[in-house]
Amino acid sequence: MTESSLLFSGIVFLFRLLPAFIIIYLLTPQRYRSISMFFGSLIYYAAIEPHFVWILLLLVMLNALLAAPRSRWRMLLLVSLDVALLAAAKIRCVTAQGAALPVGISFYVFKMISFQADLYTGRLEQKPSFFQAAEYFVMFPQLLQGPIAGYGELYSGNTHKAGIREAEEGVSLLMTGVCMKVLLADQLGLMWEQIRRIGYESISTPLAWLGAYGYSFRLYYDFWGYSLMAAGMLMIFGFPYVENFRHPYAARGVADFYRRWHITLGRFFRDYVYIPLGGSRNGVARAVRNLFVVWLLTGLWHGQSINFLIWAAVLLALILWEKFIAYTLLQKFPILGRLHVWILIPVTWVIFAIHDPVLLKCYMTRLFPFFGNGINVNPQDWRKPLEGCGVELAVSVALLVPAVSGFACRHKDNVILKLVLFALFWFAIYRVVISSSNPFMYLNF
Amino acid sequence: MEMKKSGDKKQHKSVPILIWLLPLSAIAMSLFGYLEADGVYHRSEVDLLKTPGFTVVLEGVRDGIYPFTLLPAKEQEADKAGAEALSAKESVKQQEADGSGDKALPAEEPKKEQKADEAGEEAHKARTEITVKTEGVETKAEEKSESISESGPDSVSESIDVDMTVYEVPEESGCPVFGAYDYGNASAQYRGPADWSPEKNTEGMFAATGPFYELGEVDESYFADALYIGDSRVDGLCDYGDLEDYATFACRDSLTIYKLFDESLRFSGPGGIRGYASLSEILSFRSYGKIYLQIGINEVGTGNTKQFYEEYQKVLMKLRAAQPLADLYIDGIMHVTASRSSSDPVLNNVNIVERNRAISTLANGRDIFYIDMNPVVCDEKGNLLSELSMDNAHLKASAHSHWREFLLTHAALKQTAFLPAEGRERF
Repeated sequence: MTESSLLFSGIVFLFRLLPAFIIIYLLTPQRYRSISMFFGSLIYYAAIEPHFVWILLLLVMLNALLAAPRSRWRMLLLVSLDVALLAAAKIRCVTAQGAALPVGISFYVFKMISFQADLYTGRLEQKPSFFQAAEYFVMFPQLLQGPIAGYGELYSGNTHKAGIREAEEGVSLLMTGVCMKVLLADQLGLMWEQIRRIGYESISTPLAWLGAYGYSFRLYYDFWGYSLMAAGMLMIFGFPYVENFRHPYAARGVADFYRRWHITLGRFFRDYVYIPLGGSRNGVARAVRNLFVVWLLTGLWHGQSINFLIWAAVLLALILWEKFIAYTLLQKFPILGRLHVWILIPVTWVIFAIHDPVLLKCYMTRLFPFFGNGINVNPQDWRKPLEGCGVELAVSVALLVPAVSGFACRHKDNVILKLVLFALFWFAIYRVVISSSNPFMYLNF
Repeated sequence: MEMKKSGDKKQHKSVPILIWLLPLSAIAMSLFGYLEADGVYHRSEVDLLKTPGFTVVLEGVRDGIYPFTLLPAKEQEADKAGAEALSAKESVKQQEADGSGDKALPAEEPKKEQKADEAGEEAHKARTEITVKTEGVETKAEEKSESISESGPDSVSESIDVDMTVYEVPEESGCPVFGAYDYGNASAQYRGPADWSPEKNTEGMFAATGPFYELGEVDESYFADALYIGDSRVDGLCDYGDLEDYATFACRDSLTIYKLFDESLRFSGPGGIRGYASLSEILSFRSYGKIYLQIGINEVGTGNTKQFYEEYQKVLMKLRAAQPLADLYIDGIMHVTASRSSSDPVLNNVNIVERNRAISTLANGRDIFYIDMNPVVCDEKGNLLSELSMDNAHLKASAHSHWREFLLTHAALKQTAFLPAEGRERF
């Protein structure tokens, strides 16, 4: 189990580990910084996942040492090894009671696969030095939850040295990410816990919908916040900005949504599965088959329980509907595509959220109460959660609008905005300190 | 460093303030927190390796101590305020047997207590008057009560002894405490001191004489003058126990016995009355016939059983003082599920039963009763049934019917003439 203060929004990480590492990094001469990053990241991983750090080390060694450019059999060998280890870890999760996936394995294995594929196709022309490859695999800002950046994306240009301007931007991205996660996502998460506590058979339909949107926003700001923290940290260390979210809820349809949501993962599946299989170049039937493969793998990648496969299947159905069946209809009435995003996507997140199919079905009957009423429902139960999270919900919705965050981006150098961010950041830290100062706070009854 | 003019449309130059402001502010706050830790913040240690000094400052903000108010002129005042605010927190966390949860409670005016005493005496008179009617039983009852009060309650097995048998409470206390098994996880620091066991101490404040009651069945109208006080579990009962047309509820998430009179409680009364009020206010709204109290889960991890017991006793005295005619029900703390109990060194059923045993001795069977709803929601090992809870510590909405049924079948009924003759021998 990960001690939360070691994670990115925790006090120990933000005010002890990260500053200490930045100092070490700056003291290291530029050409040796990949070594510092490699060892620093390994130590960090060992602190979080001591039992499985050997898997990471093994994979790093194999992928960095055995790789060779333009060699088909090496690529096949290493990719198979990577996939096999990931699959084994997932199978172990399913079969062994209570076993959890080693933290980050889904992310760093995918980085390794992309590395081998890029070497083979020539996208990556030369095999990098051991430490640069190793650093690429384990760099701690991306180690636990991505983004799954490509090697070329990170290492083009002069790396490991940030100008003051880049460092400043990195710091503000980091602070923004912390605020999103702590002030928005964590609060919305409390609402979801309240709903869970009631029992899904007893929630009113308004509360069920409130929960669906609450969870959707919670997931978005948690992940987007995390991605901004990761991107910000990497900018401080002299790497380019990696985009992982691009206003997904402003998308024109479900397919467009997933080009804006978790961009690096979608890109991985597109570049290394969809396009090699032929993409949409060989007719509709092939395209459908290729989409099926991509979404099957997406479902499997996200988790080990059946709800993830249901989730992927529903999304595949929606995308096929949008692309092949309702295409002209959506061209004529773009609002329909928007409604897909605003109404159907939150419903799919409920499928994503609830692992047990029985509980999931129960929640669905509350979202769409055409099959009877719930058990012992309090029709006013949505009031308390709405009051508790009203501000966070309003801010969440406001930030969905591209113009709002676009405004912040355009004026990111404005001193006043920076001071506002500064104040919000310390408020977020205050929240973190308060909730962790009482070790029994999590037992909030 | 170029200065950026506000309103300047060209964004080429930017002032890198955050990169300096963030570390400097953190260091400044940390230094302040570290240096003042002993002083205003009354913290003996700040572990610098894990805890930056500013956490002390931020916790102070939560407790109402702001750094900028601590100018030399005002230092003494703030010192005092800080001490009071923090000692309330500190005393709860202390392991010494001083059990001073006093700071957490507002100091009651002596006048109120005097008034309450008088009212209490009248109440006692009223009760003895009623009992005169059932004379034959009365004398037997008095005899029995004397013998029991002399021998004292069955002793609570020692705090360190973890292998618990079902605790025999005095008969008039009602439903026995459900025995729990040793899960091997109990944390010794949360027990009372080894040489301590709760003593029945109801002299002078509770009805010493009068008829005994037994627990029996009632309908919902019994709750028309009932007040139910407690933490988030009572909150669930309020929303899903189907008693909101009758009973009044005063509850709040994360409520503890130490802060019972300090916090603003969610207040729900029959007829759709809703609002927020302090417990003192709620107690002054009307006269209640019975007051239920279920509280204790949030403070399992702070203080020890002795402190909890003593605080509980004080709270009962306050309730009695505010509502002299009300029957007081100590509702035993609800257990948690097996998965929670077996994996948590603090929040487990061993500790909960320990607390319940202690507070059950506060019952006297005359006007203070101990009832324990756990048998209707737990399995034979004393674990909350996992199908009744989603988060291992609260009942699902649909499961509150069990609790409701229990309350309707375990109301204190005065023993009356139409009970079968055999039953009277108990008294």
